[in-house]
Amino acid sequence: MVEAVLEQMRAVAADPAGYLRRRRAEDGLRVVGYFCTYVQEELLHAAGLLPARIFGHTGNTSHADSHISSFACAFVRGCLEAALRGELDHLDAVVFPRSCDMIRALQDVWASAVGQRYYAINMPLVLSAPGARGFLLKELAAFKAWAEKQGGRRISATRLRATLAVYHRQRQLLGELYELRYTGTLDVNSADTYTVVKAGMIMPREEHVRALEQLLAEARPGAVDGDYVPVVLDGNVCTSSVLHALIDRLGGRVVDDNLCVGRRYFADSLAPTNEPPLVILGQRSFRRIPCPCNHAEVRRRSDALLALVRGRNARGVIFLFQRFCHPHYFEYPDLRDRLDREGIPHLVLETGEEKEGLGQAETRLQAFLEMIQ
Amino acid sequence: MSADAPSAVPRSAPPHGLRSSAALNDLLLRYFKDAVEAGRRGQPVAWVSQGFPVEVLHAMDITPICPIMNGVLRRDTRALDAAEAAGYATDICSEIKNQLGEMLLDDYGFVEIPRPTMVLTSTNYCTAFVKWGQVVEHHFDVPGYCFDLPAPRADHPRAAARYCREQFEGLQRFLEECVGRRCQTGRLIDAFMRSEEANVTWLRVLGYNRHRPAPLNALDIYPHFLPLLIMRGTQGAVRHYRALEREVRERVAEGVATVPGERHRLLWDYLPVYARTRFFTRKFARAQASFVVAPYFLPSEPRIPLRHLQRAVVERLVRYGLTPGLLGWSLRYFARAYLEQNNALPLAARVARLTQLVRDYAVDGFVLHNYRTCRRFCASQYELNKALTAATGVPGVVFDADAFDTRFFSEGQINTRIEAFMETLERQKGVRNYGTAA
Repeated sequence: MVEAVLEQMRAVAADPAGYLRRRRAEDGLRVVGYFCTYVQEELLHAAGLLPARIFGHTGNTSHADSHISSFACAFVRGCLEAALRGELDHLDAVVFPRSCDMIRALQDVWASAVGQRYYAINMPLVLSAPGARGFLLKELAAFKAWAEKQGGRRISATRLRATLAVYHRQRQLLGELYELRYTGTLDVNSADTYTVVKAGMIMPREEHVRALEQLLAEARPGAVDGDYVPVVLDGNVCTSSVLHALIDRLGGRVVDDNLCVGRRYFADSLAPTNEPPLVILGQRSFRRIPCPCNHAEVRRRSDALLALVRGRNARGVIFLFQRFCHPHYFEYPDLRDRLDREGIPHLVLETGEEKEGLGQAETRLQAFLEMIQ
Repeated sequence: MSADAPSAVPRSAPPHGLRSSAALNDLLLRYFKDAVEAGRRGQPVAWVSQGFPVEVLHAMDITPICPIMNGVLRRDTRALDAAEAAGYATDICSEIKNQLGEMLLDDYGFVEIPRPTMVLTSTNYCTAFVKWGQVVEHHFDVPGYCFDLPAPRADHPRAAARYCREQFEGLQRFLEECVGRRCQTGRLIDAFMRSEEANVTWLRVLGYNRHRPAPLNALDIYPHFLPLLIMRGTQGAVRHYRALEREVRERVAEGVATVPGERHRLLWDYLPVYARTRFFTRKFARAQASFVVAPYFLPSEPRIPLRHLQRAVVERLVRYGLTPGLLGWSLRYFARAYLEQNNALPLAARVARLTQLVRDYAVDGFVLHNYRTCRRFCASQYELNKALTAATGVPGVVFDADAFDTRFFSEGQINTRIEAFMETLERQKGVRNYGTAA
């Protein structure tokens, strides 16, 4: 059963566009793409749309390079390339969050070079700013109105609560998956764990929940051989599981992470309560481990990372940074210094250029894992 | 030609010939000296990022310093090297990395800078400034406030303005807590009005470049932008811009040209390559091309100028304590003014603004600096180039370099691009002249 569920998710994660095209044709699903986990995709779901995270084109970005500078990160160039090649034509629209400078630059170029319908959410970037919560609520109300128009149906409070319940369930199950892997009761390697989260950003969420329930039902004590080097990953968006697979192959195991396609997608979930659902939706943005795009107390992120490392008994941290990613690079020296002070080994790998070969990454990873073994 | 013979060629401006430039040096040196003294006396000093509403600080006797911009006069890479040695990546914004390096070295180049008692940033340029503020807060262990300025939405513009106003109020509370005294409404409004006057006077100064020939080199004049960054809201800034305006007006009256025999009028977009501005001005001057407008240094035109609010009326309102309404109005006004800062605008709005400038300043071509480590504004410079040419029919050139990091400056490559661009301009001029004659 484990293998059957994973196989299904591997197929989704390996070719999101192909999967979504098929679902669109077979089930008439209307798909809206988004670029960042800060997009409150629940509103799209409640409007009857399928939210799907965009991962972009992997490989040559010759089309994108004539529209956006070469120092844009590989993720942004890949997304633009995919759009210009028509690989995102299965999307009815896309949603931009107000996040890093590159995503905002991508939005600019999207408007002029791609021409696909899009919506931009004006997220507050300063989480502690006076009025930020009220402002986000207004933004969410506007986004809700847009989603209703796209989906052709009104989002009542009851409907939104039902959506919040689905998402809360999905996030709880993903959290459980991480727990069961850590306790050794579920044998899913690092690459497949990444794949499960990635598939959860693409598949209809109810189907993903059912698949997760089947997967987690297979947990049994002593399922995992404990002979591996436990590491925690930190960084930004990873568009494929290549590096996770490499870590697995070299005898490591990702026991937890602070990545967009990882813990940041499901952590800090909120169950629906009697509060207005839009308020609950907004609250999650403020209580999450902040993405470095936001202004927040510097220590919040390093505290969270240290807690992950200690809580999971990891022997080291591997940072996966998209090259040219300002927000992460600005925070790295502080994270590095704290890890050094705590005697926790760490390694930085630049991502997004995997197509150019993994030779160097493999050598560095191997040396790192041997060092911390 | 005899000395009194009428000259067919307009007078050229001597290099660095503005009297106001010497006055600016004095003004800034005095400002920094006073700031250091203030710091020594234990008075509050705020390190701010570009675009922060410093009027509020002056109204509360807090001295703002913009250390990022101070780096424009540094000509070596010591600070960049120091920051990289501390773990800051090669690819992050060099403007900020340079400042972080200076901070780590405790060497600020040509001036002494007092330590901050607080760090104030805003999001109206980019997230890199936000990250800078966090690093500095952490380094000095001082409190910080970040002003969030989202782009106003066409469908509900009031939400952003209200959010902005709430942050002004929050800022006031934050500052009062930091310095232990209340912000006086009368002084705040005074500071806002001085800020407005400095702003519109600077706008008028730059507006003189609509004349042919242009009296100023828009690329060389950036140091005069510094008072607007740190002294907005002071009488010193107002006096400086008034004197600068008088001088530029004289230049126009005397027909002084920044480039003799001006043939081409150019727009420069984004920051200069600070260490190599002379390379560009000389190169273009040889081709009789002058930079008439640089939008980065040109603030947005206020839609309802605050100066229309009569000073006497304000004084009367303050005297009788009738300030809450006025304060609210001023905060709303400034909230909107800050939201409309051109740097917060998306690409389409930038294109519209630059298109208008091409028309207003009779621009023949534009030069776009693709500032390599600036993500927010330069990642889309190629797109801006295409869109601007499509909108105006005017040719442009994009070249890769960096405002601070001269390691990214490839003179040969830049020369080739500029020469090809100048040939296009000459050709177009020829065609246009031919067309006119025919």
